[in-house]
Amino acid sequence: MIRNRLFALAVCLAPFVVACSESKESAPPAATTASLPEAYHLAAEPAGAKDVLVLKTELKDGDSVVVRGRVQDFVNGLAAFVMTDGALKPCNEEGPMPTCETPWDYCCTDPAEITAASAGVEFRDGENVLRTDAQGFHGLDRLKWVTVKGVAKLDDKGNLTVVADGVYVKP
Amino acid sequence: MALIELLEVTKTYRKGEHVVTPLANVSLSVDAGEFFVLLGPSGSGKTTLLNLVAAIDRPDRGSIRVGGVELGTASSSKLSDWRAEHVGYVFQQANLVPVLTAYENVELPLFLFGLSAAERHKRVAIALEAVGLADRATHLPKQLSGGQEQRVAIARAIVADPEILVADEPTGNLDHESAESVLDLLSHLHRERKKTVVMVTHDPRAARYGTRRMVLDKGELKEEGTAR
Amino acid sequence: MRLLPLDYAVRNLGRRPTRTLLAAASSALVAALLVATAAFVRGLDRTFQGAARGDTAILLSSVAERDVVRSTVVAGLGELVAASVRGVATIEGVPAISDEIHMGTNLALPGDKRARPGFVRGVTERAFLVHDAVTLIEGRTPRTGEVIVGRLVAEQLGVEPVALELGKELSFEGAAFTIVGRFAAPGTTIEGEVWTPLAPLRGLTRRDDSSATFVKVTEPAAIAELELFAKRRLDLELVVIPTAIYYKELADYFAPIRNLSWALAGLIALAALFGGANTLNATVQDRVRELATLRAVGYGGWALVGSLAQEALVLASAGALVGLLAARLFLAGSSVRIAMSAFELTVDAPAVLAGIAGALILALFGTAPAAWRVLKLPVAAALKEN
Repeated sequence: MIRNRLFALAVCLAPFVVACSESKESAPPAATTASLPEAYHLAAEPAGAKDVLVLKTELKDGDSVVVRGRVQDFVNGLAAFVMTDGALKPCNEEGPMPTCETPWDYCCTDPAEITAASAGVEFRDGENVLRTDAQGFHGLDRLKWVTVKGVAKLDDKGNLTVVADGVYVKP
Repeated sequence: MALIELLEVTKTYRKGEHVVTPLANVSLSVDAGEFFVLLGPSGSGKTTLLNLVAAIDRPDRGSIRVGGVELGTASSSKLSDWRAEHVGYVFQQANLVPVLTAYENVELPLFLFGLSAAERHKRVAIALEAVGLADRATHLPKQLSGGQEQRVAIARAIVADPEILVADEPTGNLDHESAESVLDLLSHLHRERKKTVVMVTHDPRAARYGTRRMVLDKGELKEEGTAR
Repeated sequence: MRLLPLDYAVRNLGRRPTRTLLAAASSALVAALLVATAAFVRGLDRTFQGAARGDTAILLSSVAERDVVRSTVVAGLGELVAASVRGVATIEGVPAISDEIHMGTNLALPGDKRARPGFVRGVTERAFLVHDAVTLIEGRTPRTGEVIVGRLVAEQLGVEPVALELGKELSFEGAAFTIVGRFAAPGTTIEGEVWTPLAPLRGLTRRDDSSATFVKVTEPAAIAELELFAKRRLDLELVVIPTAIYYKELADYFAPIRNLSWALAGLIALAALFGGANTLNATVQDRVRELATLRAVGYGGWALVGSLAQEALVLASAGALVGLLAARLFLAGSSVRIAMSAFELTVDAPAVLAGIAGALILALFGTAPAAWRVLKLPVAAALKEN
C-alpha cells in the first residue's frame, strides 16, 4: 500500500520537478523629477510677442525675444519643449477629419512645414537644461497657447531654440 | 427488547409508467439477538424492506427506528455514518472490489473509523479468521471460489463489529455446499457473537436457520413459524 | 469526510488498460500542447524583451511611423549625436552609437531557384558596442563583400545549417557575399539577421543615408538628452524611441498570433475535456454496483467523488509527465520562423507549469459529470445492476 501511495505521490509531483526555475531580469530604474522653479512663471502675457514664423525671419543669434505659439511636444525628464506657430492647425482642428489620437504631432501637415514653423524652448541652469518635466507647469500642456520670453539661439541649419526666462500659459 | 421497529411503513417506486407499492402500511418488530428470516416470492418487496432496515433507502410513509434512532428522516450523510457503525450488509453477490485483495476488501469499512494501521490489521485478521479465510488474505476476488467470495463479503460485513447483519439472498448464487457453509457461518455469528441477523431468502432450506420467520406477500407480513 | 484509500484509485487505473492509456495519452497531448503554446508565446515575448533595454534608444525618422526599415536618417547622424549629446556611453573611448541600414530583401544561396525573404543589417564595428547581446560564436567580423549570419538565419530561410557554414556564399541586391562569421544574440530577433558592413551596403543599394541610429546611454534618464537633441535639431526630423518601448510595440503587433495560439490550444483542450469527462462517466457506469456497495458499507457520496478525482488526477499527472518530457525533448532549442525573423521556443518553468496546470484542471473539470452521477446514485437500485 505504501508503495502505491508513494507511486501516486511521485506521479503527481514529477511534472513540477520537470519545471525547473529560471531567473528574472530586473527593470530599469525610473527617472526622478522635481518641478520647474516658480520664477519662470509669467502671470500676464508679456508685450511685443511675435509668432514663431515671423520671428524666425527677422532675428539674429543672441537676440532677446518674446515668441508666441502652441506647445507641440515635451522632452521627457528635461525642462524643454517644442512650440509651433499658431497658424498651423493640429489635425483634430482641421475640418472634418477623423478623430486623431495624437493631434499635437500635426500629422496632417508636411513635416518640412512643421519644422520651419517650430522652435525649441529650454529652461536652463547655466549651460544645462534643468532635469525636470516642464509639462504640467501652470497648466502647460500639449497644444496650449504659450508666450515665451527669453534669448534666441539660432544654429546654421535654421533651428531656433529659445532659452527661456519666463513662460506665460494662456488659460 | 425490540431493536428494529417498523411502524406502518409504505414504500412506492416507479417502474416505467407504473407506480409499484411493494410495502403498504407494514409494521414489524425484530428483537436484539434474533435471527429473523423474511421469506416471500420474488418481487414481493423483501429486498425493499431489507434496504429500509439497512438505511440505504427511505420510506415514503411510516417510521423506522433501529436501536432507538429514527432512520426515515435522517440526512443522507448521517445515514452513511449510521450504516458504517451499526449495519453489516451481505448481498446476493459478494460485490467485492476486484482490484483489492480479500484483506483489503475486508479492511475497507475500517477506514471510516480513523483507526491505526495496527488496529485495522488486528480487526481484519479476526474477521478473516472468523470466516475461515485467513490463508486467503492476499488473494484477489478472481482467485477465490463463489463461496469464498461470499465469506469475504461476510468478513467485510462484520469487521466493524456492527450489531445488525442484513443479508439479501446470501446463498442465491452459490452451490449447495457453499450455501450450507455460508448459512452455518451466519448462524455461528448469530449464536456466538450475538449478532442480530435479518436475512431475506426465498429458499425454504435457508429459512430453517432463522429463529423467527415471516412471509411477505403482496405487501403483507405473516408469521410463518418458530425456530427449529 | 473519510476518503477511500489512495490505492483504490491507483489500482483502478489498471482495470481498463486501453481506456487508461487513451485517457493518459489525451492528458499527455494536452500538456504537451499547452507547453508548446506557452513556449511559443514566451519565446515570442522574450525575443522582444531581449532586445528591449532601458539604456538604449533608436533615432528614427519622424515620418517613418516607427518602422526602422522605412526610416531614413542622415548618414552622419551618429557623429552628430556623439558631438552634441551628453550621457552617451563610451567603451574604451569609443561612443556606443551605431548608424545602421535595416532592409528586408531577398536572399539567395548558390543554386537557389526561388527567393528567400530575409533581413539584412548594414553595420559598423560600433554595432557590437550597442547591441551587446550579440556575440560572435564563430569566425570574425565582416569586411567588404562579407557577411556574418545569426544563429537562427538557417531556420528563418528554411535551409539546412550546413548551407550557411563559414566560407559559403550568400547573395542579395545582386551581389555575392562570403560568410565569415556566425553570431548569437539570445532572446532577440537579431539572431535571424544577416550583418554586413554599412558603407559597401550603402554603395550597393545606392543610398546616402542610414535607416536609424542606435545609441547606448550611461543611464536610462540620459535618453532625455537624445530627445533634447532631436528637439534642437528639428531640421533632422527625428524621433527618439527607447528600445524598451520600440520592442514592446513590436510585441503588441504580434498579439493576435499569440491570442490565436491560445485559442487553438484552448479548443483542443476543450475537446480533451469532453473526452476525459466521457471516459470517467463510462468508468462510473462500469462500476455502478461497486460504488453502490461502497455507499452501503458507509462511504458518503463525496468520498467516492474524491476517489474518482484522485484517479483522474493521478492519470492526468502521469499523462502530463509524459507530455512534458516529450515537449522538453522535442521543443527545447527548436525555433520558429516569424515575419522577417525567427526565434527560439522557450520551454521554461512557466511554460511547463502551464502544461501541468492545464492537464490537472482539465482532469478536475472532467470529473464533474461523473461526480454528479455518483452523488445522485440511487444506491438500492444500483446494487441490483449487472
